[in-house]
Amino acid sequence: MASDSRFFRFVLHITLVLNFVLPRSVSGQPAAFVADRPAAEWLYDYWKIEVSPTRGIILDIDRKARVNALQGRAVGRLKIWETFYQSLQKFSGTLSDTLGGILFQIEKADLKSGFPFSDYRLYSEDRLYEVDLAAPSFPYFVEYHYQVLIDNTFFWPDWVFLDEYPRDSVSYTVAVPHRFAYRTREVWPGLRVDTDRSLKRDITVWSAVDVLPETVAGSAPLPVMYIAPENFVVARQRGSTESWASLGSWYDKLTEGRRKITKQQAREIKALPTNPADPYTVVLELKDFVSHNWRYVAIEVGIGGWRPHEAASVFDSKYGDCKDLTYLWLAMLDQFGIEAHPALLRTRLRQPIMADFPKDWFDHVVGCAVIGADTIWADLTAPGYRAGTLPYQAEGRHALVITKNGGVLCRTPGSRPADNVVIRSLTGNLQRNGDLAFSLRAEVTGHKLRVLGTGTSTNNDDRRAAEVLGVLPGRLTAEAMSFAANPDGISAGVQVTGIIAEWAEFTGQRIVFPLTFAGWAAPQPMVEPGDGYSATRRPYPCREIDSLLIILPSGYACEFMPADVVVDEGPVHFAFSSRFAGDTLIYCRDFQYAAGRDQAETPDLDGHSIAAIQNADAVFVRVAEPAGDSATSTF
Amino acid sequence: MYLGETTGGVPEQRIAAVHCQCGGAGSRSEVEKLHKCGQNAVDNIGRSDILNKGWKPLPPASPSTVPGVHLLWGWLVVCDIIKIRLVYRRIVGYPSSLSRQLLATFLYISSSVCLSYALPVSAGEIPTPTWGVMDRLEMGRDYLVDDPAAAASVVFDKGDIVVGPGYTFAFRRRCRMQIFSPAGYRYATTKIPYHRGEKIIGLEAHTITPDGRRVKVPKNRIYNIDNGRWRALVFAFPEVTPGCIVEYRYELQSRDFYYLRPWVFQTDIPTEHSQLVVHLPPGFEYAAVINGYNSVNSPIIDSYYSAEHHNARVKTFGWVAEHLPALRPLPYMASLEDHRTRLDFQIVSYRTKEADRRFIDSWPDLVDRVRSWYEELLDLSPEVEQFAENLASETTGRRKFAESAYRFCRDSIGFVAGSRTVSAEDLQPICRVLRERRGSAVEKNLLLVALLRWAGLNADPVLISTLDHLYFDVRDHRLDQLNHVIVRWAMPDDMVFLDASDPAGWFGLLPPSAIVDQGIWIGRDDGGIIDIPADDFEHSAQLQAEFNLTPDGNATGRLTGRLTGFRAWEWAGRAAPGDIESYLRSTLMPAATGLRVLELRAPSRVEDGAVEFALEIALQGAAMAGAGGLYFRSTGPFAHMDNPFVDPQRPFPVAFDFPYSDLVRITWRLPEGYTVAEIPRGGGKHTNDLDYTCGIVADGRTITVERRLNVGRRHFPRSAYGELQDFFGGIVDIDRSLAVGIKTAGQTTAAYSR
Repeated sequence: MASDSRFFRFVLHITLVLNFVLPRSVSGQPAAFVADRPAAEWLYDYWKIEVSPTRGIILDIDRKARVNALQGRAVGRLKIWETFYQSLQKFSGTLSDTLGGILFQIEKADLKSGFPFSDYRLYSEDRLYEVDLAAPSFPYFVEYHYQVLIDNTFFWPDWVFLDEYPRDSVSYTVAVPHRFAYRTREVWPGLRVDTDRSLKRDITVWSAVDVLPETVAGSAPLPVMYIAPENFVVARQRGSTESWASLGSWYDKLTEGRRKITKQQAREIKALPTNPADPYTVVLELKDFVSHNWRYVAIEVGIGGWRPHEAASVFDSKYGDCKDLTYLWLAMLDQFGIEAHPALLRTRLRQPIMADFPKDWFDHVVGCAVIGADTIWADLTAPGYRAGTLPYQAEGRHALVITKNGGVLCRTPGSRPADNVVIRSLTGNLQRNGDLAFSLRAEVTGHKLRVLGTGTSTNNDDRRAAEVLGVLPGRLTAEAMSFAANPDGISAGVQVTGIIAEWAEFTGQRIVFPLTFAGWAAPQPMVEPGDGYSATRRPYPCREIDSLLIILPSGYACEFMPADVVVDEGPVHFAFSSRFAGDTLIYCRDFQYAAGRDQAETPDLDGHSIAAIQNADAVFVRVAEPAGDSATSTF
Repeated sequence: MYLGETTGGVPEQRIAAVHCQCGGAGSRSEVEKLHKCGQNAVDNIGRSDILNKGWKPLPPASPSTVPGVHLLWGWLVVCDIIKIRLVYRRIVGYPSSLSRQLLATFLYISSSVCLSYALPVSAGEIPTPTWGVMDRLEMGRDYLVDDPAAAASVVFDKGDIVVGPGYTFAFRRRCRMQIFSPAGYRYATTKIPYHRGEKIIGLEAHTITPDGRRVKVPKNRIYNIDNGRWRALVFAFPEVTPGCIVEYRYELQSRDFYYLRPWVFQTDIPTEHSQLVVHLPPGFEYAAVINGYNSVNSPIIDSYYSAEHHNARVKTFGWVAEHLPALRPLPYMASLEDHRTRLDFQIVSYRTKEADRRFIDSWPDLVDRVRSWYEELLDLSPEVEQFAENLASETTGRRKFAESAYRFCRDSIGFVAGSRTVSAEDLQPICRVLRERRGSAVEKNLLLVALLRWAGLNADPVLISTLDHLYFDVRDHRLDQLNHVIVRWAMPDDMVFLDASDPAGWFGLLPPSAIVDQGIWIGRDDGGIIDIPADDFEHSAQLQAEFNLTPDGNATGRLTGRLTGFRAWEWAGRAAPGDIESYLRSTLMPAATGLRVLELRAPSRVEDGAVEFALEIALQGAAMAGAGGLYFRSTGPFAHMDNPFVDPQRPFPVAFDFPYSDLVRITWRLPEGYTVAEIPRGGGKHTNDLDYTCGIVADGRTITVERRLNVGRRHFPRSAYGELQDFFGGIVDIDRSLAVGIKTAGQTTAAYSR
């Protein structure tokens, strides 16, 4: 009996323990309480590269993740490209539950592929396989393996983490024939390296355990290790990554003959500049001519993703991608004997290239003209930027300039806050319905001017005025507007008079209105995709000086305004001051941001007092007797 | 309407009532009542509305409206008569006889008549711009008068569908667009899709520059995309600049005369003129359905003897639409396709010497056809039977079995995305779906039908058109109107509709996209149109929030709630703080900037459609703090900050995802040393099917807000737009009103703090 009692107590205890340990389920639904786990976590993430002298690179990817929440579903979404140099050989994917039961399996034959075209990328031979492995209930495991054949070592993929979820085990294995030379540059700290040598292969394994990738601003892949073959052959052109010069030579040979134009075209080009004798005029005017008259359409067939179309055909078609338009411009400058070169840049990803690690880093082509000691840069795909200026994605970046003597690595010029300025002076009269009747004068330069547009994108004055002020277009009615580019070509003056609807709220005894317009706090065009909203972060150095004079209805006193402040913190300078007297409110704001896109430590000031002031409202309370029924109760 | 000849032996035209479709007004069944032949739909843009707006027109369509032609003809005749007299006298002297005079008069007059027919405008023809030549009305035009924001417009779009000879058809198209700004350059790249069994010939394309030059698209710049069954020709027009014309034409030849290409009159840029002519030889019969019939003329019917058809008498049916505005999406729309002016066809029958075949022209025909398809797919293999037996052994009772089968299909069959189709040729048999544990939305539901039938339950598939698809018009017997299958389980005293394709759904509740009025029931022995009753779930959120404000304007607190119906459906699957934050911001707490979920209790999921939860949350910046005061919106993060209906006019009806009823009770506690200085009065707005009340009371340091918002139905016609605008404007005014707390103890400071 005593043993029965003990046994019973034992069973009871075990039951109680299991009751708390095992996941709960109501009506067949698994408990989904996973607040203490990340949305997803990788059990392993393995890359294996095998270099074959005859086949190229065989890349095998093996991954397995546990998905705990909705946000983690992204780990099951894959995009696998097939291009002129890369083909998908195998694929298998499995979804399973926590008890090991298979929920779903998929093979390569089940994948759907499509042609990833847009209005701008008209045609290429690429295909895209998209996979979405997701189960309806959490948690679950997603596991997949795929193999890709890359027929040229030039396109050797770097090792990257595609997301910020933790990883239990990662590795990158490279097996190459003896004497096959390649170079690596580890970025992730603490990688363990093991080497082995077999009869036919040298095998190197980089690995790590318990990896916690930290999110880098933006949605770029996180680099772990860069890798490049020392020698390669692409489009029958031999190349080497031993130096930038050799890499540049290869590209020069690849694009040989692409700057040719016909005699008729040459005649037309020579008639274009207003002062052909002045090389600066020629450079500027031809850049504007190409940028405004040729549109961006990418057609990439085979090596066409690397090699531009002939300048003569681009001249006739009046469209092309970045390299087509650049080579056209170079061909035009050749007619005037002006030295000019193409330059390869990396613009899409925030991480800069490594200047001491020559490899294929690049995703964009611009041009540079050399006149004496001057180098004038030009992005032919950016009509808003005249020669001598570059879009912010291309500023302050390493550029591989291609010359007849090989490649030369240098940096594109950056900009300073004084180059990207907006000065706004606004006078406004607040109406009793909350509308603000205003008159604005503004001067804008640099990237700010590009934000505004050149006025050619729309004929609608309301929209253009809204861009200047940064308010929602639907709320602004421009009664008069003038937009005049200054002769320097890099700044413009704007004058607007109009009405902003519902700018202030009359709520009870109070008037509440924003101190800064929506655009002043975080102008959307200024924030890089993937960076998210930020009240203070900018992708380029800039300065904003605003002064406002608002006349309020009589009978109100200031109840709340932020205190005057001056802040100098790292790349940020901020000053705010205000005065109210009678019925007139004057306040000024001076915001300067000196950090560039490449800066490793781009400060996030969203939680800072600066952001709070930028987002704050002013509050004025009625001090005169109310005229009618009050909509509020006071205490 | 029906085009062509019947197979009843009498070669005459049979024109049924024109099938008309427009965007929904109220519920979709109300749309049907409104749209009888000849009656304008109140919720579509009438042609008269557009024509009154002063669009720049092309040359008038009908020469009969141009009085000048008649005057000219008459003047020519008068001149001829005078000439006859003058010339005849000069040449031949006075007429020798009256008969000679009459003969000469006849000759001159008839020559004038012939001359008048050489004029460019003739009765019955619509003038078209000349191929490769810029029209005078296009010259110098860089924007449309009535739509200055339009980056481009379709100037002229003409299609000819020629059926036959034989079992083929040819589709000839000519399209002409004008580009007004660089934003319109995207229309200067073109993609022409075709099936692998079809051929495109005679493709020509060019740009007409503003100075009138014609620049052709070279043949080697036309690329072919081959994606298996479907292919496309793509090309970019050269020398595109604002003000230029881009124009192309081609002929597509197909052997699939069963499927005549639909004609889309309306796109995302304005359309000035669009027309389609269908040429039908004897023996072929099609049904034509117009969506947006108010914008399209009644068909112009004519006939001619066609050498191409071996001199057979071919009938033509022509439709024209002019001055169509750009179709752009707006908030709260069910589907843009509901409002697109377009023409669809379905073959009804054909009769030739070799064959006599009738296709679907009634719902019973279609039901029979689909039933025969699905019977094969639903065939129970031993594998499926074994599975069903195992499932039955774990449940007791038919209802429990049905619920288990539903949950299995919902959770354990992986969803394979792809284009939705109900056609059998694109569906797998259920045995394969079960074996591979994956299937499309339709396949998951067909598996469910099979399992329920195995258990002896009266379960059948029902074909529907989901809300994001075309509007289902029961008068139009076309299968491609329908894109999804749900399950109908009929019991003696009840009927349940199920959809296992949605992972968030539950037994007995169709997902919002499947809440439609009618479907086509495919029973084992019977079938046809059935009404799908609205669900009797209440879609509501009942929330209780308690916020403790701090002097710096932040707040922490607790949020508890019970969600039912689709409110709970929206929550489903969210288990991590980030998921819940995004849910709250996008649904119930639109003003919740700075929201963080600190802790969450495990939400319970109850199969009768409810979710209960409790959260600890933080709200950064819940109030503005400074000068001894705290200023915050009384409804806090639940406030509607903007009126979603801001456009002065709306061309389409309004469609909410579902009717809902939300109740929020908020308690604000001010920090120690503060007292309530001011609270808004609150208020309410009431109208048909819309109800909002907000009551606010204060007590010491506490402010309590109770706010109710009921949206009683899903669809609101265009005529109710003003009412909606006013209603939501009132909500915004009340929601955004401020409550104020002031510090009673200590010195206030002017320094800003947050």
